[in-house]
Amino acid sequence: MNDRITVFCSVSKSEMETVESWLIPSLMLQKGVSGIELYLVNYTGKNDRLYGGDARRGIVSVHEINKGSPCGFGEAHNYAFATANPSPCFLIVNPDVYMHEYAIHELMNAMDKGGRVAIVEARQLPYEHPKGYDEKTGETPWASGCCILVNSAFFNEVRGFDELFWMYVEDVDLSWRAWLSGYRVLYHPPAAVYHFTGHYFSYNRYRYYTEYFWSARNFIYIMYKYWGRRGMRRGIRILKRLEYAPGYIKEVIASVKEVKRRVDTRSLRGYRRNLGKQRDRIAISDFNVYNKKISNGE
Amino acid sequence: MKDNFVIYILCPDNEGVRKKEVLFAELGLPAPRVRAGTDYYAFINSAIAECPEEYALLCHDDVVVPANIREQVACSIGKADAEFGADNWAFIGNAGIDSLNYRALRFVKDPGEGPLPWTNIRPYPAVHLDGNLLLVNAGNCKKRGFAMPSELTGTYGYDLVLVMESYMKGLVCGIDSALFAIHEGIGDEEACGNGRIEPGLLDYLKKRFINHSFVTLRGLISIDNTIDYLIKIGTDPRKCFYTHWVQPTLAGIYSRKERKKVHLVTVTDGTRDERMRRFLDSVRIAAAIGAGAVDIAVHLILNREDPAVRDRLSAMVAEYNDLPIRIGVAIQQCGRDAELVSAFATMLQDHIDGNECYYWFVRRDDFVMPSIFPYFPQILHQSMVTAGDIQFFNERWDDSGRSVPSLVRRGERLDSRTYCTGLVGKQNMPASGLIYPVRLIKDLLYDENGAISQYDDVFLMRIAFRAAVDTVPFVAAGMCGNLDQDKDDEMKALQESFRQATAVSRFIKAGIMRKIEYDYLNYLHDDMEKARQSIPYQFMQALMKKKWLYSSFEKMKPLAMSALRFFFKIKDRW
Repeated sequence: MNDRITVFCSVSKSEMETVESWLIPSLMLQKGVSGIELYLVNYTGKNDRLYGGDARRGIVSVHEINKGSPCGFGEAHNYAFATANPSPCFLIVNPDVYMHEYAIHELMNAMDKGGRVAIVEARQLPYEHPKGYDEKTGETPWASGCCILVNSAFFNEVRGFDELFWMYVEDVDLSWRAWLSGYRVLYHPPAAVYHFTGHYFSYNRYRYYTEYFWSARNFIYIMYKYWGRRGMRRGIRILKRLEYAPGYIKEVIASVKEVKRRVDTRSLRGYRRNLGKQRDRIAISDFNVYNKKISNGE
Repeated sequence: MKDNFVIYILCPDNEGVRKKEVLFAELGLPAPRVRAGTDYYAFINSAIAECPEEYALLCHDDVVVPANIREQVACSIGKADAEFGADNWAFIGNAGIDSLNYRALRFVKDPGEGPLPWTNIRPYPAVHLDGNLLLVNAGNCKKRGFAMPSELTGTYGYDLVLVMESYMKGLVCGIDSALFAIHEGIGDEEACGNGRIEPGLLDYLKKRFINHSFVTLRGLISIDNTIDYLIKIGTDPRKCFYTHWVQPTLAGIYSRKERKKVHLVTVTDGTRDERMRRFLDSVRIAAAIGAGAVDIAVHLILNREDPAVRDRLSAMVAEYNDLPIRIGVAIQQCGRDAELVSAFATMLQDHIDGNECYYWFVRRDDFVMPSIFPYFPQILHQSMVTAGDIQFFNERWDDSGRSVPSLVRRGERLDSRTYCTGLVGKQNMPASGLIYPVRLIKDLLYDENGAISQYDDVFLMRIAFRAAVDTVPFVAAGMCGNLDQDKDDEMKALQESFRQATAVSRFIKAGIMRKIEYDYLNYLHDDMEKARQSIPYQFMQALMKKKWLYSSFEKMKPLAMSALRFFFKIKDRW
């Protein structure tokens, strides 16, 4: 049986219902794991205590931590990592997932057997996240942060998530930095989680969601991060072809320009130099043609 | 009978006022209070404020109400009270956009429209109402402090604003066929047709809501709204009209009604345990999601009498001791086709939970979609079968014994609105997508000989013909097929034809439909399909969307018909 595992989950008050009715009960039923340290990271920064249940629930020990200021997904998990110092790996999970009873066991097996594996991603059900992966090796260009097992040594080496993303797409960036650092990123279908994401089930079509805005904004930021100004211009052109209101696009571009001012461009040179070695993996899904043109200097 | 209401009508001028008063008197209708003016916002406020009775009926000056309007209003009040609670609703109209499907529901005859509408058993919660005829619960409006905003005037957009203001006060609006009327006017076509948004209304929407679009009977109102709520999370005081005001108001109302119980029933022959576990996992998640919504019970029907299999099933069930699960044995063992009805027959024989519960039969290998459970208080109704969408998955299972397939490919999503096509000989109702009120289908279980139906197809066909079926836009269940199965299309088509032939022939024998009617409907179906594809039909459909163009066409029709006959060789007159 695998040893204890540390789990991080970034939450606010509105997500606690699913944490208490789905996530924690499913963690309590995990097989092949002797104990789980669950860290609930209050990303709002407010002082309200979010979790009101027992600190010990079956094999799960629940801790609540708070940085004291609002933080994005990446910053929240970097803070949790620094606080809990998990080893040799830790699990990141969304608050609205129900984990299959063998999910953690399977993820840890894949990490142990894989050899220099940075991240192992679990399969989402009933709607699998649309992405490509090698069915034999499990290698995938990037892992979705909904449920991932992360190698602590790797996380330390690359200094965690890039906090400038705030939320969305930082999982893609972490995956790409894994490949550039000589690690592997795996998708492991036997590890399954049920994720009833709002995107498929409950999003209202007459409003925008944070996912759309930050995904759009971070799509352009990641294009800039890896392909420079040319990549950023490409990203903006792609965005403008989508059917968003003009005011929406203007806000997205303004936000990208703001984050660009805060980027340490020297640190990006390493990524951009080594891109050629991982050409097959570091590509914008569905926009490969743009990546190829950029790489060819077009 | 609650018929204590006053009719209020707004006419553009005093001449119109006089004519309306005379007309109502001549027709023996309740005397209306007719006002002259063009500001509907102020009109609604004053009608509610001065109404001496509990209810008011606001009527356009070009609406023809039925002579039995008293009875119809009383009926509508009763339906609204029963559905929403007497203290919880503000406006009921005869046309609008329903809150679940965002579909247009119309129980009004506008100019140029043909067939009469269907009737609804219960009012549908609405996110927009047509203002032609509105039943107002003036008492509730006064108690909750409802008022139309003073900064808005005129006749544009008031029907959307009154719905918004209602929900913001915790009051529901609904659509009901009991308020059927004939609407002789065509409204402000120029404003609606051009999608013009008056600055006052635009300000009103942008100050209160984060939405970029609002759905109305006249189409989407789209605005270039600010998106601070996405960037400065938690600081924007504005909310989403649909998810912050409408849904919680409805959820609160329906949660206070009597708690419903849903019995989930599935059949197993003791093989494919992993799929049974997958079904139980989905129920467990559903119970966690819908814990506040409905009570759930699970029944596993074992399709054969084998003690060893029963013991293994019991051991599996023991792992789900957080769920109330009962194992029964089917009384009919006629193979796969008898799963559904034999399961239900078993329930009738051994255990039936009164007359107020619901039964959901889930085909073996399928699973329920937990996300539909929170909506059950609103969508389940004792007078109707509820049909949800179906999501198909093609799967591959390995020998690991785990309760998830090794590979899944998402297939098509079957829209529940396409299910009830039984009238034209096509039965397309997936068993796992239907939830039945028990009292409604007890009679449908037995065939003409008083025996339990042998075939699921016949059972489902009876449902399609006899029961009212309400469709909801949520995926109810996942239906699972084998990814590696040989796709022998011809054999599959043959099997489907055989099943359909068997079902329909038994159907006809049972007297549910006479052969002559069935033949006629099939004949009509082909002709109807041909007509629908024809250019003249499509031309007319396009024309009727532009009402002003249609009325001009009607005037030019004699000349136009000659031209169409000449160019398109039409033999019959439309």
